[in-house]
Amino acid sequence: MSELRATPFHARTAAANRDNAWITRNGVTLSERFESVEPEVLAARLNVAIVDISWRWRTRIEGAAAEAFLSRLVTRDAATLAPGQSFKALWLSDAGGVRGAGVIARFGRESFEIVATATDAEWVASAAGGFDVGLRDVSCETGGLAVVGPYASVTLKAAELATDIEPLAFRKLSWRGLDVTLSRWGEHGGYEIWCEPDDAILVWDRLMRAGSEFGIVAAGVAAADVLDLEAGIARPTLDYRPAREGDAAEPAPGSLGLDTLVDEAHKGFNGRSAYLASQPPRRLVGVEIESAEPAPFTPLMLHDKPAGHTLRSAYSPTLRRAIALASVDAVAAVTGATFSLSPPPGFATPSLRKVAARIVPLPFVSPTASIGA
Amino acid sequence: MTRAYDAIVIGAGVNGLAAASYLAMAGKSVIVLEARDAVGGLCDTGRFGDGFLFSRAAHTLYALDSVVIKELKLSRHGLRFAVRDIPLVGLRSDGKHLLLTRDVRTSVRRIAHHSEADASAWAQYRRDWFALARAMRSHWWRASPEGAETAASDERVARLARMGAGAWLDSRFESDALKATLGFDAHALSPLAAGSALLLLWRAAQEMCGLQGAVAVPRGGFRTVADAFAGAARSHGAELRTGARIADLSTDRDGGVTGAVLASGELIAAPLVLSSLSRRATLSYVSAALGFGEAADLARVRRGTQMARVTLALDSAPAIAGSVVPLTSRFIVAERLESLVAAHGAAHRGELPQELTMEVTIPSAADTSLAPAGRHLLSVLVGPVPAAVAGGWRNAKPVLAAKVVAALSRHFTGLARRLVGVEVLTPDEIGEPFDDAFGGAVDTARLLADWRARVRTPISGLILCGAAADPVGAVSGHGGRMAAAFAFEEQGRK
Repeated sequence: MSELRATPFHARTAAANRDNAWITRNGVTLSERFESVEPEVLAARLNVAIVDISWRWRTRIEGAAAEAFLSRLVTRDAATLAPGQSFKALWLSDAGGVRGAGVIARFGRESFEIVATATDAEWVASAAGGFDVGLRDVSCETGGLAVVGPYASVTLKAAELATDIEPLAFRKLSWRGLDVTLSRWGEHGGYEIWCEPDDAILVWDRLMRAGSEFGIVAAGVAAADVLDLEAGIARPTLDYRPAREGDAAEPAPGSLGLDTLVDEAHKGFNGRSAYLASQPPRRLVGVEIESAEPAPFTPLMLHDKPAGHTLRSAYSPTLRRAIALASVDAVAAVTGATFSLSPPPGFATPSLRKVAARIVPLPFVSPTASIGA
Repeated sequence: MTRAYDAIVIGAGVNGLAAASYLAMAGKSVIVLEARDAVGGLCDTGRFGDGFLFSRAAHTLYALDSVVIKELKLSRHGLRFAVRDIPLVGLRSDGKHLLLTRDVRTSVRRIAHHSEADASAWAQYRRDWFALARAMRSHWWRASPEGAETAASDERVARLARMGAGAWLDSRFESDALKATLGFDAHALSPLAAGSALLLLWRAAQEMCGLQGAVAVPRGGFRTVADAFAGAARSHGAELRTGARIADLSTDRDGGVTGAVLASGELIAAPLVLSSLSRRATLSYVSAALGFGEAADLARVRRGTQMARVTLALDSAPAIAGSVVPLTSRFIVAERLESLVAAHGAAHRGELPQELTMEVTIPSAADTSLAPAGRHLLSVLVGPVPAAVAGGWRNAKPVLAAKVVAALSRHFTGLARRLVGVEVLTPDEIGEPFDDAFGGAVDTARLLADWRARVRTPISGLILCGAAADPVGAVSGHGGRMAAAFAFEEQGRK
């Protein structure tokens, strides 16, 4: 990893970061929280929040073979995308293990972009070796702000930005003299605005001003992680260790609830035959914990027998209790099934011992309907 | 026009021909495609001036599978041995040459010149070592059924897999003479490399003419070995075609192999393709059908050290300075284990080692038909040397030849004066498709992996049958036999 980088919004986030709480994602310095996680999450649920997402790993793929390459790399057919459209997909190891997940966006006939939360640059570069394509890492070349919450749409309108855009679509716009790209790639029913780094401060200020009457706040990485967790999305490196060897079969998409991102009819993607043959013994479920105390990576017991374990866990301010994603035996993955948490001695909080965790449907929290759109 | 066969075998080396024979024997229609103009692969006989017949690449015959000899009736096809078991000689600069023969008492006497302790340990060592090695055969080349218990799970084998050949020999013996002479056989890896002790075990597991650990000299040179295999293949109805270079392998959408395209453009269809080439060379024909991980593995440069071959033609019988040893021996030139370690270090850096380590035989002493009357051939296996040497092998080739002659002159008196011809085969001339056959690309994982993992490729119907299918490359026929066994097993499953 090279030196730590700051995002184009750093001047503003640094000023707002009253706790001096920083965190690194993909080698980029980010605010973990600005003051407190809970109000930031609730703002995104009840009002509107902006989140700096400039740190996303973004790779531009260009060339005559770009479509063929992506169709081979990811689990869906890139030929079905028209320019301005995108889909979410996985890329797998030879043995069908999940290496990464992200948005595949088509910018032009021979131009695509992968946008993801975890980098896998070496794999994509070596895979591209057999194709006539050019790769360019454009992470941090632009500023990216997510605007989420029921008042996201009215905030953008108040800032005179057109919002008539379908989920998973994206469009270049001229916004009162600034060239920006508006996209709807996120899981929380919001928008993303991508801008030139030099315009970043302007973009931040315009949104904060326009959103002030709707209670806009800046949310940090921790709050964004809670939102993702509430949306029931398993994230690479946070929830699972992505397959990093070419022949690693774990984790299988089915065990992470990511098989919806695989188009089985799409022939020829890397790892397809292994994927079709695999029968993962575990399923991804969401559990509510009868406690405010999160229980990450803790064994789950069913009738005193191990039946799985939790993944990431956090206190959900929306639900007012701790929640966790969990990987449990397929037979036990039934809504309503109740496990007891069994933290190893001396490892987790003793108060969690023998606390119940009940399977609930995912997502934990659905995005609140947009207001005034 | 497309011709269709049940199976294509790429490469008419010993293993390819063996595979073709087994397939044809089972009633399959088989074509063997050989890029060169002659069959034999590395068992290729060249000629020097007036009547010297020498083997360009293959050096000694120590692994020819007795089961293969019997099943393919190779003696009916002309396989003959000039000598079935030649002694091992450690040439020492002090003239006290080590002589290890099948007769334990002779060996013990000669070892005692260097160390009494080693002499008394020898008989026991040989017994234990050979027994363990024998037990490994079922794992290495007996196509055992899936899940069968083999000696590979033995705790002693697991320990050797973590051990260098140097450490292993150090733990048993004290004299440089014995350790260096025995250690040379692990030349594919440095004696310091973990698992190189397994290479010694693999070597000890080999059998020639019913004698474990024997080294034989084929009568009429290595060409007769190749011809015997070719004869066997033809007799079972396999078609042999030379001058047929593969340009591409075709696969269907499901990633199964469907045939081969020749450089001439001709298409030959077959649902089964057995390749004698290295894994990398084979898979390079189907790179588009490979998973990205496998393709990335192939692209990784792994070649480090290799072996070179030098053949010297002499106008008279070589004379060896020092204590008396028979001319029909294999002579190891390596003073100490550290010489091997240093040579590996230099070779990894892309340099020619200061002190070359070598194995020398005098095939003409065993088989007079290989040289004109009174004249002789020294066949030299030099290594480790760099796979790619600094400044290129074109420039290093004469340097290597001169170094070999200079080093051997210390043991073979008047060598330079008697020299009438020199032939050098450098690693780049041997070529990457033969990597496996010449001591490259060996690793511990491959030595302990199930045999199926060696012959299988990610492409269904494409099977490795050459040296890549053997734990360590050698003129053996193991690979061909196991690849055929795997092909039958796969077919039975369908």
